[in-house]
Amino acid sequence: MTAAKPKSKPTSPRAASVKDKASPARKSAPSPGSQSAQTPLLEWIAAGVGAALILAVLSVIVLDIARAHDAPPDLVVRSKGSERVANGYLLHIEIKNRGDQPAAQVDVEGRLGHGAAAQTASVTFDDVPGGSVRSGGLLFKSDPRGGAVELSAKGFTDP
Amino acid sequence: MNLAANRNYARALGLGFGGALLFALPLLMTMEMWRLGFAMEQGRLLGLVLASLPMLLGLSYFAGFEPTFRLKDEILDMLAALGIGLLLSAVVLSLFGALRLEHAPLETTGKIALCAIPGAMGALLAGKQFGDSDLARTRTKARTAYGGELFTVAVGALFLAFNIAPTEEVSQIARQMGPIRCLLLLMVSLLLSHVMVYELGFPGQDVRRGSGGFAGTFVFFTAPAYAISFAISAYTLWSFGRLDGLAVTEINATVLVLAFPAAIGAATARLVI
Repeated sequence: MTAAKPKSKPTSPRAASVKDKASPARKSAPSPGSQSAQTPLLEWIAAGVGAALILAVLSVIVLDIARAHDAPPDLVVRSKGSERVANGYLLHIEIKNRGDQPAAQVDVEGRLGHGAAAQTASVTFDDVPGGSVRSGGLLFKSDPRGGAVELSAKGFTDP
Repeated sequence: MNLAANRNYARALGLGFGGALLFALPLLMTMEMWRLGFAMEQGRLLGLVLASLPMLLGLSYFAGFEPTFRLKDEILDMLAALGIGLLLSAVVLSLFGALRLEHAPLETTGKIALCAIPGAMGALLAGKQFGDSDLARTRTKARTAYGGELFTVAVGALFLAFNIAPTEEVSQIARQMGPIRCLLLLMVSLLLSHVMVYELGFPGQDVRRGSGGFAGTFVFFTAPAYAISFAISAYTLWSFGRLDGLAVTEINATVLVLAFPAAIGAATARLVI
């Protein structure tokens, strides 16, 4: 396996076979006896389903590109009710990104009460893509139904 | 309507689903893949999906469900394979809880579309792998054209690049390697892909024996195959946004790291497809 024959062309045996296949098999006329002369109905159905699905995928992406999609993440947090748990109270929250760009590592803080008596709880959402909703919970010592909970998104990274 | 032909085609579709599952599962179960569905730039996602169409068409030519070389049938096969990939991704991702009703349409679409590409490749390949051997022989012959060989290389490289590019480990490995290891990796990639195709007794290898000396095969096959693997690695990484904001040397190291598995995938494809 030394570099003995630099001028030998590795393609030569292949070149012959290229000519072979170029002849009858490639020609369009379907031979009468060939089993593929008639396309099975199922093949048309499968291809039709595939075509519809790929067109749907492409149009969702193209429409999203066409809609100017440069609005930065716009994060809205809201409360989804609370319940008693072993460790205090659980406040269910939901975060929606009304912007177009996705946000990652979104820090959300909830503040219950005012002044020195205020309790805070926080959580980080891994990802909140544009237009999508994620949910989670905050834990408080006292019942969040008693006083107004102030919910806010504190920051995020670009994914 | 031909019942037997329909039944045969149904069987091929079933095999296609099996192949798609085998090829797409590693990605369906990779959470970076779900994130990429919405985190990658929409333009690059669109480009990747569009670029996969001619690639699948070519793959259908070499490994379709049916023993034909007619363009109409290749397109039908490609569409069927895409349908299989998309359906399978949608079902499995829903089953895994990665798709939710409250997610935005683009998020859902992106996740499904990304995993559907390797799925469709698997669907087309399964049609061939389990197909009858007469066909396999015809196709092997067709594929031995030089262009066909390079195309096969691109498919193999793309499949492995697609599987590994989403992971964080590619950048991590690139960061911890340093220039000397990079050079070594380049040499190992070239050497291994050459040895796999031309020196080891892999099935399929006999066809290629004696098609030129070491220099000939290296210059005409191994080196171009590596170049294609490198380019495809770069394209995949760029599409996934893994090269954004990196310095030129870091970009080079990152692509080099991914080109290693891509080159192995390319060599394997030349032996297997």
